Amino acid sequence: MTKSLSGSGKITRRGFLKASGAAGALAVVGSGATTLCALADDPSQGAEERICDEACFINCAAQNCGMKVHVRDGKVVKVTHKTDVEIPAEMEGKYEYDRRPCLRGRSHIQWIYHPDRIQYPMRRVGERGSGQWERITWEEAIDEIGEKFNSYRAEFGPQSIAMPGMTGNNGCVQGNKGILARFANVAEATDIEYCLDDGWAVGEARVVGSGFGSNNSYWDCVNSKHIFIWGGNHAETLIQSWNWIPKAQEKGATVVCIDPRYSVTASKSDVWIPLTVGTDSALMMAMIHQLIEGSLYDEEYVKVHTVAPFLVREDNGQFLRMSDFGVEPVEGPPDRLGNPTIVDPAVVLDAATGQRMSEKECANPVYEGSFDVDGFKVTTAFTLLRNQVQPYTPEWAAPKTGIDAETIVKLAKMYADGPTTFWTCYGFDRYDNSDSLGHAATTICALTGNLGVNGGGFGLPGTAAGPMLFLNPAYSNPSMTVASKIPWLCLPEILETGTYGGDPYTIKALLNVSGNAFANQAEMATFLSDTLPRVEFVVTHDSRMTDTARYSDLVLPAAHWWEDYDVATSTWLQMNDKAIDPLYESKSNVEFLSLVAQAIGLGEYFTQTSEEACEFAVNEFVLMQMQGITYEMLKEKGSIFNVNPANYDGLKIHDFKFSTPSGRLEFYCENPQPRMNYGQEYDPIPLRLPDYTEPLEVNEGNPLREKYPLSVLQEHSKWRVHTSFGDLPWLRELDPEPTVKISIGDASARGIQAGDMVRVFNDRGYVVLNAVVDGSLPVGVCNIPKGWEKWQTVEGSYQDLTSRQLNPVTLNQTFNDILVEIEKA
Amino acid sequence: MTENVSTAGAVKAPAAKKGGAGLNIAIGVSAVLVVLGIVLWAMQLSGGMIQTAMRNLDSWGLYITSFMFFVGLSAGGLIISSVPKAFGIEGFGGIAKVAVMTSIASTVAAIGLVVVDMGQPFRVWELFVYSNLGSPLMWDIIVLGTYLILSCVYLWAQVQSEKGKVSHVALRVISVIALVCAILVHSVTAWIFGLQQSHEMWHTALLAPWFVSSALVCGTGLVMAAVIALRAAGYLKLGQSHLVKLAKLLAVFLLVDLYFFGCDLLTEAFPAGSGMAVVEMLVSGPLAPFFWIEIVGCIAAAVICLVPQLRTNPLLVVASLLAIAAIFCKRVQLLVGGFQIANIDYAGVMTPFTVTNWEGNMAQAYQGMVYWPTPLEFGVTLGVVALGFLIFFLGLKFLPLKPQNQE
Amino acid sequence: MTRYGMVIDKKKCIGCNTCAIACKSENGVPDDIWWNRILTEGEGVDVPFGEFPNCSIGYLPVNCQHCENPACVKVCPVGATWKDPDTGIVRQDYDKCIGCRMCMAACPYTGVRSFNWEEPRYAIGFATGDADVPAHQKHTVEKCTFCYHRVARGEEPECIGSCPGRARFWGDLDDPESEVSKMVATRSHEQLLPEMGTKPSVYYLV
Repeated sequence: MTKSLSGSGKITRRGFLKASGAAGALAVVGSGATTLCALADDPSQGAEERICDEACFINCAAQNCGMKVHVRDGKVVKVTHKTDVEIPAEMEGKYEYDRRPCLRGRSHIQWIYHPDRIQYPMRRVGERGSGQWERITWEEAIDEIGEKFNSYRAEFGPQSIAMPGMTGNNGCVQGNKGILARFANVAEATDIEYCLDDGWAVGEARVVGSGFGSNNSYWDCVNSKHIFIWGGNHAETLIQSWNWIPKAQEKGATVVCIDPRYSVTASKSDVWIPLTVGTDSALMMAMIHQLIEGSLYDEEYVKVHTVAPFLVREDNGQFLRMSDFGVEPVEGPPDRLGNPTIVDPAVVLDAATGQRMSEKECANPVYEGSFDVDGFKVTTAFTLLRNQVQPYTPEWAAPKTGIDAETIVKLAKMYADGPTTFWTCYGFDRYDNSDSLGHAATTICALTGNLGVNGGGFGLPGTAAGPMLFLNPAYSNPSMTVASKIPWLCLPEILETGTYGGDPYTIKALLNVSGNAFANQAEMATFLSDTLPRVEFVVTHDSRMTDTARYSDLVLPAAHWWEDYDVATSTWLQMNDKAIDPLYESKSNVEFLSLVAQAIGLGEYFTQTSEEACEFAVNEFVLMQMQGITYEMLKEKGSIFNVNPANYDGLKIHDFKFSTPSGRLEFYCENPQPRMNYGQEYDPIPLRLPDYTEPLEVNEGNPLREKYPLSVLQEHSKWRVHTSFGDLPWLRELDPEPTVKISIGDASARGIQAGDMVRVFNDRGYVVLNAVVDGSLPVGVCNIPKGWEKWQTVEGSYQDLTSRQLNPVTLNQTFNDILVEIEKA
Repeated sequence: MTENVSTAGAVKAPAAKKGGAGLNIAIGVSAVLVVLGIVLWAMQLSGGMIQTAMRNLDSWGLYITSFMFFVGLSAGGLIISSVPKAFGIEGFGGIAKVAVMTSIASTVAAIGLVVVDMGQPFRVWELFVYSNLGSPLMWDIIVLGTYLILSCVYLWAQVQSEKGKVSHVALRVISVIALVCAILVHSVTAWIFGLQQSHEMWHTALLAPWFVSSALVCGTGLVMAAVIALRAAGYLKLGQSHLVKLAKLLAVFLLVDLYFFGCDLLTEAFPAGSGMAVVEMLVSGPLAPFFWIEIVGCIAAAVICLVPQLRTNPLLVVASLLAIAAIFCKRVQLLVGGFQIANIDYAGVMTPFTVTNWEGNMAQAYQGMVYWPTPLEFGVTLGVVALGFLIFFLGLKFLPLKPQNQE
Repeated sequence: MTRYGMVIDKKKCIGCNTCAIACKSENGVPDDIWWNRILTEGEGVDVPFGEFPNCSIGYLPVNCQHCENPACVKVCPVGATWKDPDTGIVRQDYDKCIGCRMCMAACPYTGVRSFNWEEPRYAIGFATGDADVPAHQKHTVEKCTFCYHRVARGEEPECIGSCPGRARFWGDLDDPESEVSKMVATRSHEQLLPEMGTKPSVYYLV
């Protein structure tokens, strides 16, 4: 017996031959055939096994792993990782194929064949949520939807049909940016922005120009000297990308994990900083203080690539510009989105001459000091920052953060000893002050010269600027019409007042497709009791009886991803074959929304089959055309490396061209913008510079702590992605019931032992959970793993505890920013 | 010696007269329990052994505990019966045949208990076709089978000897072989456990001799209780001196058994290493009730047997039963104790297959006894035990087990 | 001779359980049975030792150790479990197993062997996995086969290539040039319960 002894996933010779044989067969089957799946001989029994290229479309930060799916006797029987992918020669040595579907991706078989899968259309007969249903036919269902939607549209306008935007399907065609967007745009429906995940991105956008705009490719972390993992447990949540961290460690990188609890990531890091919950701002500000006062910043970078030398006018807080001295602005090249730009350069003072001049022409500007420039009282942005962080000394931060001043100084030194990358997830995104954290974090990156360089970067460890097929505008916007967008957090007010941003706005129906909004949004109990009753008609198209489906009026069976064609995108562009026909009476999103569109008279835009839509989405996309990628090619190869050759270096930002108005890193932001602007009131002035901020509820001095002394973390665990995979038997054998993790001190103070049923409560609601006594948590902090639905708990839901408090700037939900008390149930 | 015992009818007649209705009722009750046991066993086989409390981390339970116990009982009876004959000394007042009958009954029960423990009893033929002669379990099956046959032969030889058809020399030879076999069956049963390095509590060279001493304790106890009962029932007559001899013997066996226990505890505890866990588990842990019942029972039984004033019939019965109960407790400690201490005690996935008390965390599963039988197991075990009793009672009814000099 | 073995890098193992699911799926392992269990070196599943902030946690994936000197093989009365001389894999014949569970009692790595305490159940109604995997049987003992069906085709066990953390390695321990042999030769490692003398074929890098 001969075999390859490589343990690192390299395929065996025989395995390779088999795989390439499969690819060959696929090429032959190719166009016109009803199935794309390749035929491979089963080696021993001679039985035919079809091997299909599939992908996982659940949103674990859009990793969307591709995989091979084996179909035998018409059933999906097995999932394996791909071994037959081609990596561009230029990437040799920099990158190796890393998509190994995780425990969740490998459990899809149980999703498809789950005994509780929704099999046929159902109409509610009891109260909402009572669980009483009658079976109806698809014709009846579509007739009812058509009738109601038509009357709402006629009477209240097309926006009266609202689609909660969720992330249950990232498919380019079947997913939320594909057919869902297409339907919403054509029908001019309301697209409800989910108000999740973008808190720090709002702050990042001030500095870098766009949210999610400053991350390097995750494989670039091997070039880092220091890796700061702050506000994320990547070892559990981004399992696919984690393997690069040990590689970086082997190359000598030091991994620093900043997390209030001892996570798996903390256990694998070289340094763990157990900062007090909700005090990230204090630590960041103290680090900025130390970077400046300790002269640890990268002076050259700061002068050239940031707004440090820009002169901020005392009168209006704006940069002093050439137009202030009569130089007419000129038209610049259009921006990414094709909008016209105006170039009106800022003014800086030349260090050598002291003369004011355009920042474009000055190689060595002054970056510190206050000046009177021809009557304008100005101060450099850098000096403003220095003044801003003056009080935030490490000694000041130490008692707040629980990290001693010496360590904070050391952290600043480590960060400055780059290249350093800042990996985060959404740990500190779930607080009311998340925008200021994004702002401060990117300021640290800017001061240390770590943006736009290899080994640097900030944000989710993603793929640098791959052509994100998510957004083929030709597919998602086929008509001249667009959906209207509202934030989820405004929905209660809209339904209550019938207005949005001061104008009348009526919503009559919720159309949930590939999303479990009710279970994933804050303050579920209030939503169900006060908000949902104001919606007349709730339709849910899903494969499982989610909390959302349970509180709907009409439930329709959705096909599993592998039951219809789609295209997935992330690092890899991936084919998603139709492995099997949709089970029972289920229909894919394309089929379902096409039927709805026809019923409301918009059928002309919905004539394509799923496969035709895939073909269109790929072939008619300019980014694909530029790379010469066609749908036929994708079908043949299964996976195509989806990174623009320009980004093979792992960088998203090249030549330090940032997408801010000035093109520099604007840690001083003249006009801070909210996440969405709908005429809400907010004060932009305090947002211009990073500042110390506190969470809304989990702040140190909150008197509410007397009543509710515990803060809650909503850990994202390996066992599920949000509520997806939440009822799969394999995963539930490993993680059988909803729990709350309680620190040893808090448990003993309350007489709680592991395995006790406990009641977690605050003024908004309560939930009964199984207690886990967990030494990883500090006293005062508990942790409720996210994703258990209401129907899975004994009573209540952890989302009953959370707050739908509206921060007008971030419009972000603050799941970790809540206080509770726990008692034995 | 009379000849009338040679016909079955003649045997049956006095038994029917003397054992009378009581014996018939006993046979009837036993038979009903056997049938019930078979029904429950059928349930176990069809519905699955998930209905027992045995699980992957505690994969043996009441059946194997009882198996060990009944092997002990069986050997004890045979040894009591064969030692005097083998060494040509005065016996225990002609109770040899009854003692062997208890052995036969116990052996059948022991074999029955192994069979009900098997997941695939219909593959039992494989034992003879694919025998792995290196397996202690295979040794045990061979020895137990041999032992059962030998016990029957020995009983037959005694009966025949009484009729003068088998010479005393031949009987003596058979006695010696039976004795060797009785000791072997014990040692081999001990080796099923004692040769397994995987369970600290089991892995000791002492286990084989200790099993023999334990067997002698409960075997003697059983014989003593049986003969007192049979004497009271008028089935046989027996001089009190014979009983005293038995009692003294029991006391000696009890003391030896306690001595072995002491040796074992000391050896486990002295290095103050991992063996301490075993001692703690027994003395103050989940198995403490069984440990203390054994210790106290053995001492009390020994005292009764040794103090002449206490050797009254009721107290001797108490002593016998205490001795039997003590050894049963020993078996429970040994079996459950082997599983009670995990070699790798990290937490992992808990499913209904993992451990008896799976609906909690791993620590909770081991807080009490890791294993406690289900009613089904009690029922099936009762059925098998009833089978032993049935055979014994049928023996009493149909075989000439009375001492010949009482005819 | 070939003696296949595994090397598991505990430093790289993040306890994600992907290998456990991969094993379950590939081998059509019935509900409630896990051939490959990821134990937590801590107070409980995913709970560390110690109290904040002095904590430690590790993960220990445990499957059949395919010992060079297997305790289970010796005790099986009917030879239903045996050591394959060509591969060193400890194999199991469901058709032969009489369900006495002697092997389970003999194995020091309690829990790697599972008994089908009832008719194999599948929540989705059928067994997933490879066509070459023999059907699971009620009242018989089963365990990790080192994916013998794959090894026989010249492939690796499914848990190796599926490991997202790149913590699992596979190869011939008798070949000094193999990756696993080199790892064992050059990296500090441990084995489970070496004092039992079973000589496991699974090495853990520490």
